[in-house]
Amino acid sequence: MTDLLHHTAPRQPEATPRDALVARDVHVQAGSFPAVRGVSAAFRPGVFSAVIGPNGAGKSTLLRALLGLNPVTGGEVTLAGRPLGAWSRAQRSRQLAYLAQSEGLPDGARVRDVVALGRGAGDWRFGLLPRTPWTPADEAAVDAALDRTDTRRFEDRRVSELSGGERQRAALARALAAEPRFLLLDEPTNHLDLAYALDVVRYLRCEVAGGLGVVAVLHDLNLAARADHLVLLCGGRVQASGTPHEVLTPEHLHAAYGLHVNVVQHADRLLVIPQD
Amino acid sequence: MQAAAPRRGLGVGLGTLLLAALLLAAVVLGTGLGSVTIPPGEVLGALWRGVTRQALEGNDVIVWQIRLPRVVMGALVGASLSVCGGAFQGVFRNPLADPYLLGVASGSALGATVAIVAGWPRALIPVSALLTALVAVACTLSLAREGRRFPPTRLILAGVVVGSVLSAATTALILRGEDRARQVLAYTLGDLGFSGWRDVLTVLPYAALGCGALLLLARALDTLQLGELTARSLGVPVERLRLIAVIAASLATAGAVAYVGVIGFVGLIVPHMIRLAFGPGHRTLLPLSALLGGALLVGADLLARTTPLSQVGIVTTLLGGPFFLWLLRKERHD
Amino acid sequence: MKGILTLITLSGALSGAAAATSYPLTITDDLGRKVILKTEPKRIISVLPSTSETVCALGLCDRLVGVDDYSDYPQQVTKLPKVGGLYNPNIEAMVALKPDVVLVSQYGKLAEPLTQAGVTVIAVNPETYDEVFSKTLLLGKILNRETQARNLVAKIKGDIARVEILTKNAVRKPTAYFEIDPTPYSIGPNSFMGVLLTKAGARNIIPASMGDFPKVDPEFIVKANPQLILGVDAKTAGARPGWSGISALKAGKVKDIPTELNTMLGRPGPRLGQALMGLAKLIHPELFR
Repeated sequence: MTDLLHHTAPRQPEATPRDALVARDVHVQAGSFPAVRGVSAAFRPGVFSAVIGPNGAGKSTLLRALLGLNPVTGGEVTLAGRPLGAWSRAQRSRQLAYLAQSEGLPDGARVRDVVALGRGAGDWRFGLLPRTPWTPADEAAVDAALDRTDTRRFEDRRVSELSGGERQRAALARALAAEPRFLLLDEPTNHLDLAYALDVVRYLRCEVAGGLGVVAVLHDLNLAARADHLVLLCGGRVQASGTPHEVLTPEHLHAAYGLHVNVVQHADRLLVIPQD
Repeated sequence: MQAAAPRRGLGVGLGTLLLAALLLAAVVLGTGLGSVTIPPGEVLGALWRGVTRQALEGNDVIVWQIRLPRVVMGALVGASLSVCGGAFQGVFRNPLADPYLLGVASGSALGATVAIVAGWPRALIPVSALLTALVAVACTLSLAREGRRFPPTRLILAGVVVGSVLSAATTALILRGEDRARQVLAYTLGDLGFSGWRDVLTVLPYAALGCGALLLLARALDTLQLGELTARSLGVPVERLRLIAVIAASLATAGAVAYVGVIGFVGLIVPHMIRLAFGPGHRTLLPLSALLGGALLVGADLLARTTPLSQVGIVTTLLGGPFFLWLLRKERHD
Repeated sequence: MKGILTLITLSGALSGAAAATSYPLTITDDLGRKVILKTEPKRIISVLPSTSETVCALGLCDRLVGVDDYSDYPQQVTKLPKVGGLYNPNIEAMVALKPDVVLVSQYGKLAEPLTQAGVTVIAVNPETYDEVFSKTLLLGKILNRETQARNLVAKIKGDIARVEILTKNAVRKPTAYFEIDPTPYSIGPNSFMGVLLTKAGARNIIPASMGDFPKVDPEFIVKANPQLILGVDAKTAGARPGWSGISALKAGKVKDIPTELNTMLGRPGPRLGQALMGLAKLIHPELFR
């Protein structure tokens, strides 16, 4: 466990690799309000990236723009060098998985059935009619997703019978079942107590080690400090980006949150402590 | 694959068998019982002669030309309304959605009333019902819409408003068309009265097309339960899904309402019962709702025929009201 | 038979000696209200077509100052101001006509608002066959036309007796199903129309136990296999599932009720005899050649 949490410094090549998810000067309007105003950032496979910033900074909006769920009003998002719009809906849904802020898991459903839904509509006719049959490869992907999130043992339970942490892991399994290249999560640790929150980060770490690109919107800066790469948003713009050491400085955080903080190093992790 | 852990609740296979048996029992009882007493042997003989197209004798006409089509119509309508209810609840992720509450049924009733009062041919009644049903649901949705979302409360309120306006229009028509007034009045309360084989054959394509399309959309509807954004991230075109599902459900509802009138609560209650017993997956929810809804309506019509309750719509409302209250209380306690 | 007729006519004539109504008159109306009429009403509003007919038959047509939308007989009343129908009564118009009395049915909710407005309201509501006579007499009392009322009752009874003489002895009385609306609803033998149906020489397939205006299960009608069907046109009846085998359809004895007759049948009023005659002619045309 400690090994995973204290992941050794990741390799971060300076040049943007060909398979990255890249935002280039992205603008997004939320109604008449410019929620994202010229954000550029690159997210790589095998890297745990976190998007942080105060409320209303445009974090969730940026995440949805990266998924192609929010129309971009300026700039562009590219996946593996191709603009997102050039990918078909089916192809895009295979590459980019999304875990929404509060995923609507239908209460009475079996965990396994919910996870199986994560295989998605990738090759459905019109996105509405699933092709038959359900292949062994699909079955294997669902099994793997259940195994990797330790949800296999309650795969036959109903969602309503799960604890908050189990629920979030089931949601994670659902997202992983698609075998995506990137997983974009909107505040995955919201409403979870510390132990469960760390649990989620631990599972994500495992996936990152396996080559998955993770982009998570996080509120808790001390949790974000465990990521490899941080993007600090403020007022729809990038305040800072880079390693936790580069981003989590009292100066950047003051600029973003309007709050004086102390950043201390404990073991090899950073801790952000607000000043009274 | 490892052995599956024991599942909770009823197995789907067993449930299908049980519900099919229930529907069969309802059909048997509905065909065997009525205001005229006919011994079972005679009923069977009549069915045999009907199926083999022999000459009908004695009570055969009652069994083969009146009771059986009425029972089949009841099953068809009950199944349609239940499948539509289940689909509407899924499409809008709203446990209170059903053809009745969304104004679709009232819309169909208005169209059918126009056709009846104007004296149009019987086959045009469902067409007219479908057109007004689509207008009604379009009104409800545009009233309820908040950006891309349809918040449950707004949706139900909009449905109630649209439904009331359309019911008022229907009532105005009834009061004007004096001669046919009572017929239409009975119709608005839901009645299987003169359903013959010809009506069954007219309604069948509406039910088959509408319900069939909804069954095909079952997995897409399942995916939508994860949330609209998640469904879109999984490649489901949510707007298109909503549009097609609503049209399909309106088609089946219009067919059902056109000859039988507004029958409340079936579309609301039946999917809930199935969901409680078998879980929310639409691939089981929709077909099993069809079985239970068919059985329920055939049973309700039998009660209507043989007791002073007199109209199937009255029976379903009497049964459905308390169930609905129980459901509300249960949701609160959970 | 002739003796009875003479007797009826005689009793009518004898009752002509009845005293005039003395006002103020206190009566209990069909809503169970005690109403006091101070003087003989000179300005009358009737909101029930059968009441309009009765008032005119009592010779008081020129005292009517307003009628409901559906009153259309005798012709004279069609020229009077209309004061609305059962569901949309025009109370303001009624008050503006300054009536001495408004004769209402027990349905609708006219009594209270009109009384509040200082208008005298009396609910007179004949529903059964027998009430046609008792309510006619009551109207006679209210309007100070008791003699005329007794004569009217005697005349109606005479009309009826003349039809009954013929139908009573009809060789073959067909079993009949009388549909009053296509839901279908029919009439029980104790209802106003049911009594007329029996008197017109038909055997009603609806037993008294089903009530006065029962909703009928279509299969019951097929089972009863009536020899005559009234109130439906032949085309509609033929299109109904399972009906083509009913005796009445096979014999072509399916008859819609002509509009005028239908109106008379729906009004328990002075044209009762004519209504019966019309019905009897439909059922037993052979008796009226």
